[in-house]
Amino acid sequence: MLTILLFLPILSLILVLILPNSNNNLFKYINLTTTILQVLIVIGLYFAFDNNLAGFNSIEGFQFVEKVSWIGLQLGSLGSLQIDYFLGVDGISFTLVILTTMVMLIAAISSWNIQLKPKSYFALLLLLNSAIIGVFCALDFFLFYIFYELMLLPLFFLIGIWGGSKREYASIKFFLYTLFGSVFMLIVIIGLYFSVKDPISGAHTFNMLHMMNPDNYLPGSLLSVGSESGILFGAPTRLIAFAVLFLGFAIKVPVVPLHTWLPDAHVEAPTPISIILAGLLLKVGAYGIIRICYGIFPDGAIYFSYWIGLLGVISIIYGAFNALAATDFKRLIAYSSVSHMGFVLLGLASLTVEGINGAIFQLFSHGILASMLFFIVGVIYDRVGDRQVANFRGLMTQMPRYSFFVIIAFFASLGLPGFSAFIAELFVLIGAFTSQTTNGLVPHWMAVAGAFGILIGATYFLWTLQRMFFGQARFLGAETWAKQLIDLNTNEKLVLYPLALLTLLLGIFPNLLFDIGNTTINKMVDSTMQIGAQQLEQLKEIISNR
Amino acid sequence: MEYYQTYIQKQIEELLLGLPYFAPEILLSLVFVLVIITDLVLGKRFRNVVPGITIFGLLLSGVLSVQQLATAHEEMHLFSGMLLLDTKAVLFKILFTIISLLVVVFSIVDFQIRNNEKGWGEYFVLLLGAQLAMHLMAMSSNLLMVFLSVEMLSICSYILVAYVSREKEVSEAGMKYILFGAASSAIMLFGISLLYGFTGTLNLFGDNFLGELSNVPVAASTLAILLVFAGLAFKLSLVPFHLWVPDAYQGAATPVTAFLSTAAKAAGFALLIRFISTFTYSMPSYTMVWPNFDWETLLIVLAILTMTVGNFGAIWQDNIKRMLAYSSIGHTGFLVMGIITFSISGEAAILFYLLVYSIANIGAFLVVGVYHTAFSVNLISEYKGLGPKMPWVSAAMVVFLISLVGLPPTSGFVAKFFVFSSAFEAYTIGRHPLIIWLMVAGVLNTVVSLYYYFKVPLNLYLRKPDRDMRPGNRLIYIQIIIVILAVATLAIGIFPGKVMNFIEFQLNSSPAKLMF
Repeated sequence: MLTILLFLPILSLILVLILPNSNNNLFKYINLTTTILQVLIVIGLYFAFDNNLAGFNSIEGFQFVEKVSWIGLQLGSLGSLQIDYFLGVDGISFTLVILTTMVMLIAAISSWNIQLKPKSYFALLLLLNSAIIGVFCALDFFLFYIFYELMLLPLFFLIGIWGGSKREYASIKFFLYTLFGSVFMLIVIIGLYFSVKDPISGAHTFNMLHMMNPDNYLPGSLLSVGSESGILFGAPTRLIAFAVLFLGFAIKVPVVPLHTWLPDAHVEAPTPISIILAGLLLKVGAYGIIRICYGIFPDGAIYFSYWIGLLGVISIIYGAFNALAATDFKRLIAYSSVSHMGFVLLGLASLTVEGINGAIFQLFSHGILASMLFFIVGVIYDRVGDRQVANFRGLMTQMPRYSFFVIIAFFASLGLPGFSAFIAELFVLIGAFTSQTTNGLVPHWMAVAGAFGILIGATYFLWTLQRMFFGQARFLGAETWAKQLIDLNTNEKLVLYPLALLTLLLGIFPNLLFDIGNTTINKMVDSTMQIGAQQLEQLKEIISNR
Repeated sequence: MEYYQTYIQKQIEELLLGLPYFAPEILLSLVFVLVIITDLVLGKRFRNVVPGITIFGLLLSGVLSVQQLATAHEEMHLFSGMLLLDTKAVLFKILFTIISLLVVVFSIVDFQIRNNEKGWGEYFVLLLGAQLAMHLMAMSSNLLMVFLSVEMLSICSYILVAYVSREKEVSEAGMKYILFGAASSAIMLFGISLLYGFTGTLNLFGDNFLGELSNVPVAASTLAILLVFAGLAFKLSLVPFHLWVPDAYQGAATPVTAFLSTAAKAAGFALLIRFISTFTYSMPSYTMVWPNFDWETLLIVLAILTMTVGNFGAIWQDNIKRMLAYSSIGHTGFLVMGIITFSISGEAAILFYLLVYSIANIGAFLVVGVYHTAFSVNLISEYKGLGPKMPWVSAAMVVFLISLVGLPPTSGFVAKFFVFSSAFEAYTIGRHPLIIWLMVAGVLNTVVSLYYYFKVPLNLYLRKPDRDMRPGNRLIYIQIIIVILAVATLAIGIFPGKVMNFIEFQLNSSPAKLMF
């Protein structure tokens, strides 16, 4: 089933390429049909999904697994190389697969008015769709990396061709930044491949699950625990590898101070692409940290937890302050994304069941809310081609329905109880608070600082509401704008209603989501703490013995 | 007297024994002569006869080379140790043939070569000569042969570069190339004479070559090896012997540039691998390097320098050929990375890299040629908005460039992956601390290369054209070849197993592991 989910967009892509250019309207229907089919498949999978299986690092817990040998090479003195087409989902990745299909559907609807080169646009969008699904489903590191890099190219063109005025700069900056992060990953992948053997076939493998089991590491290899050979520049190679991988994913999340590509890319991207960027791309970074950094290097997860938490807090506060200072509505939303993703890091750093549950919940919740917020910005930008906060006033009287959704999105985002973000942030903060007493990884003050971040979040959202929506209707473009600023049309309502309902639904019945991931997350916390602490002990011993 | 008689007899016997294994090269020589004659007799009336014969000859010698795969599993020392035929040499010969065929097809439609006032007969003669020289380079196992084959390739290349010279710049580029080349040949010859003086033999795989060399002071042997290496480094355009590259590549006709940046480079690597393998002893499980010369450090430092200089040099280029010239210097650095393992997997990585690099690079040059013919543009900044005008070619160009950067799912990524793997292997075996830095440099250079390569799609797609451009001559046949090359680039990237396993299998099938 996952293969169908993955290759459905590719099939549609081929269809789009074959069809003649003349029938421009056809392409958006193809794209829409594809995403609807994907949503239907995922709904089917949702009912087939067994919530009680704990995945994370054991193949038994993964569901809908597909494994076909893909590349097998005999590499001389090194034995053989084994790369599999290996897909499967556990509670964590399945949550994100659900999110992917939803956000892709939203993006498909909001791409309805694309006029410029629709054929290329939808072809690239479908390629992107496939790549993102692939990242979340891949259980072979090589395969993961291929999908991970494959996302960049369509995004480069999507931002670069259909973007705003500074699109060239934004797209190349985005590409260079993320490539910079991911090429270093390549070295770690090669290092892992040389260190890990398949316990059955004895071949070097890229199987992530094998990489997560310390028994599969060759004694004396560069990334194995417990020998002199695992030292590089006087530090354990495993910790260096963790840091390198974390850097790569942190650029994508993005974590302050590696976030500077984000405001540019978001601001310049067309609305559907902003939705995908905020709704999915950022999640890919966080997912990478969870699956790869934490999964393969639990020792690093514990060792660096303080710094990860610190980076999270810095992102929360810095992002919020920047949002407060932003004059461009879209830039404001972009920085609020930075702030909200900081909670994910804080939750992960705490390594408590509550914290990580909260982090995963935040990924989903932010995926929905960011899509909604960027869509909201797109609505007024489509109408008047301007989105400076100062140029609008009293939109409430001008566009009441629109303002209704804005209020929902804003209040949900600032963490009002009853909406999804509240649950997510609450759990993250609980996790961060309990961490000091249970495992001692994250100090209390970080949780306090996180709570302070929510306060600033409330400030900028409410202030924006006051500046743009309340008061007398007054616009920079006066009468012309007033004519252009008509209320929502059916298409737009079609996007906003489900999103608003979803955030409300998850706010009231958070178990819908918690149930999917909980077992896996429990296992993740247990095994990370256990294996990680053990390995860290060994590493420290080796370092002190030198 | 009697002694000489038996000696001569033995020589003739060896000569006759060697001949069957020399079939592709004999054929190339015959075609070489045939092309000269046909050009004189028929060249004026039937223009296309000459390239036709050239293609036919190349194809036939390619077939003969493929047949040699079956026999070359045992290393054949031919002509009293002048040449060494093994699977590696055969694989390189096949690679040269593929590249040369593409270049010949490219040359037929190239505007500059087609409309050259001197005619084009000699041009194809020279290509065949270069092809023969490369075959000899891949097989040479005697220092004299090394020098002769390198000189033969160099002289052919000098003329090829200056072949279309009408403008002053082209002549200047050709002159620069010749002067640098002549100087480096002289240096190389000096080194060879020193090695001969020290060891008393020219045969690289003779029993006493390394033994005798170990008896001279380290400083002296190091100097001699460095001098010979400098000559090779010139062919490979390793920093600091790269200065001729940008001018020569920019000045030459586009097919010649494509040829120099792929086939000639591959030949240089064939010879370098052969030369270095003289200094290694193969043990059952690992390879030992002759201790008196630190090949590893030399190669690592040169690799870092070469890739960095090449890639950073490319950033500021606006002329597409000059940019690709600098980038090809960068790729040389990556290829050297594959050598430092001194292992079969490293060789396989290099062969794979050379194959996919050649396909992508020739593809890119073909696109450059098509754009030049259709729109008469030479600068990247003139490519504005051309993408949608020629959708297939431009999409193929993006594929080639992605492959050259080394991003999945193209073959360039897999090649880069193999090269990094072999560098990592070298690290796990030797733990040379510089290798980590080499890999870091390689990774950073990949990001840099993305920046300048993507200036091309940036202009093709993201910018609007300044003026209304209508394609002139569309060169449909070349467009088809371009698309096929792009599909090959993707296909090898997604299913690299077949190609890589073939290379590995052939390399491993040589029983004697005298090579590295």
